[in-house]
Amino acid sequence: MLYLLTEEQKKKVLQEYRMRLIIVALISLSFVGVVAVVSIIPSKVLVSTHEKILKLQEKNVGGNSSVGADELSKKLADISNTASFLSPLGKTFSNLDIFSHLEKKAGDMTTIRQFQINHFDENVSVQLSGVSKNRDSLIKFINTLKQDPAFTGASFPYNSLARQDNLDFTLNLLVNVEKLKI
Amino acid sequence: MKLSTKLLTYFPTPYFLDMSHVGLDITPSSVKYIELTKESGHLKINKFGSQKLANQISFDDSLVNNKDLQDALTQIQKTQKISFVEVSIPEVKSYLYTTDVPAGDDSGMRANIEMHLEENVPLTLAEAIFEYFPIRADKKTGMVTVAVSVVPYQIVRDYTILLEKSGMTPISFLIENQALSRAVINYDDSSAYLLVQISDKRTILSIVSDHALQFTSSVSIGSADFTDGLMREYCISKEEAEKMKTDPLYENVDLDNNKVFAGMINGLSAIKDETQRVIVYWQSFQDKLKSSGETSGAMIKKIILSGHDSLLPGLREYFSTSLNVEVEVANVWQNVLDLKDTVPDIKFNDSLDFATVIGLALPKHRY
Repeated sequence: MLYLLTEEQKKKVLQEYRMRLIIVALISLSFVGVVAVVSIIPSKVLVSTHEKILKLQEKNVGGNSSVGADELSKKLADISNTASFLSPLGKTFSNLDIFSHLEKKAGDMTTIRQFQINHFDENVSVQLSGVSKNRDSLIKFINTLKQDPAFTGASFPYNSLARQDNLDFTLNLLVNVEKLKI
Repeated sequence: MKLSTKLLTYFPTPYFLDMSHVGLDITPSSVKYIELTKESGHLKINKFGSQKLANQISFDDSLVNNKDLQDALTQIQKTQKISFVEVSIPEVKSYLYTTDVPAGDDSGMRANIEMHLEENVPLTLAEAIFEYFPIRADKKTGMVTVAVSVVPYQIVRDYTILLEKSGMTPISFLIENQALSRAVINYDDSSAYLLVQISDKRTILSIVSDHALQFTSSVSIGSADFTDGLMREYCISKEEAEKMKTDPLYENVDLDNNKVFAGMINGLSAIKDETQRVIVYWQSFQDKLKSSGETSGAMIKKIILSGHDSLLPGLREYFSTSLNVEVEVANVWQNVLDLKDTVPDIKFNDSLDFATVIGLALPKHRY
């Protein structure tokens, strides 16, 4: 309440008050601005990093597909390797171990061309196909597998024996994990 | 507690925007100041003091070129870094009257007061600055009774120039007994009180009712006259007389309260007579209002004494016995702080001289 003041003095006091009101409003706005900027900075950095990653990926995929494919294959190989380590079998034997085991049994006269390991429930099966020099070498390989406790289910591929030389064969074996460890 | 008060407690107005002011009371012999600040929703004394003037000033002379007053104000501003002040205008330089105006908005009521101003005060409209305070409204007649305070424009202008020269900006002026009433009467109390303020050379009598100062009168007898009376009666020095008034254990005089009182009886009796006249006037005015059915008639509830001489031995009893009205010494802190919780920095007898300046320093939103 501006009490008993001259008109000039009232105007002067009101002007001072308005000036202060403007200063307070400006300071408040600046404060809000600073708070907003400080709050936005982490989000901005995160978003710009994501943007850079996406741009790089886009460049890799769109610009040079063979390089991208190679990288992707490499990545996938790494991931598969990691996954095999994480599998229950992989803790003691890798797929490579099973292959090496079969390779040894095959001998010089038999070549394994394809090799696929399947996990189902808690069992592991192997499907392999290859070429044997002659009937004797193929029969010898199958007999060796039959005698090996690490594998069961090896049966003679009679269709393959029809030929004399270079006999193609396909075998399905069950892997006895426990025996394989021994 | 009102919602707005609660909000202000937790979200106070920024200090910079609050334009917090200091109360400044210019008396003939000194300039008193006090600043009250809010802390946790309660008022507290931030700064206070009194600057003695080298020579006594007279309000009859122009103050704008008074060097002693200018020096004192500049000194206060420099030491206390004061920006905004609310200043007292001496009662002798102001006019007060009550009148009825048709109810309406502020500009309408102001225009009506302006129209009749010259009928009530010895000033032309151009020479006067006035403010009004509504006391009561009569719905039947559509009239509002207002208390009008009028001050000569020249006085306000001189004070403004003087203060601005000292580096302070006046944001309000109050007539000294208006300020006094803010301090010594609880702001919720609308009863009628007679305030007796004993200062150095004068004693001011004011009637406050319905939160408004409605009547004022003064006697040219003050505490200096009581001191002179004691000096004459007991043939003692001024210092001894001052001590005799205030120190009940003063040893150089055979201190008998009756004797002390006897030394001042002439002055006190003059004040008592004037008080009696004011009470009779007020009672008859109220009886008249009551008979005309305008109001229920507010009789004087209490006489409140202020000024350090209100503690004179036997004074309270003398007034209450002679006037048959309850008399008490003012509690100048009642609208500032609770004396049960806080001990103020100003001694009780000194605080009685700070009543006016405390009223000036009180926050504006309360009034």
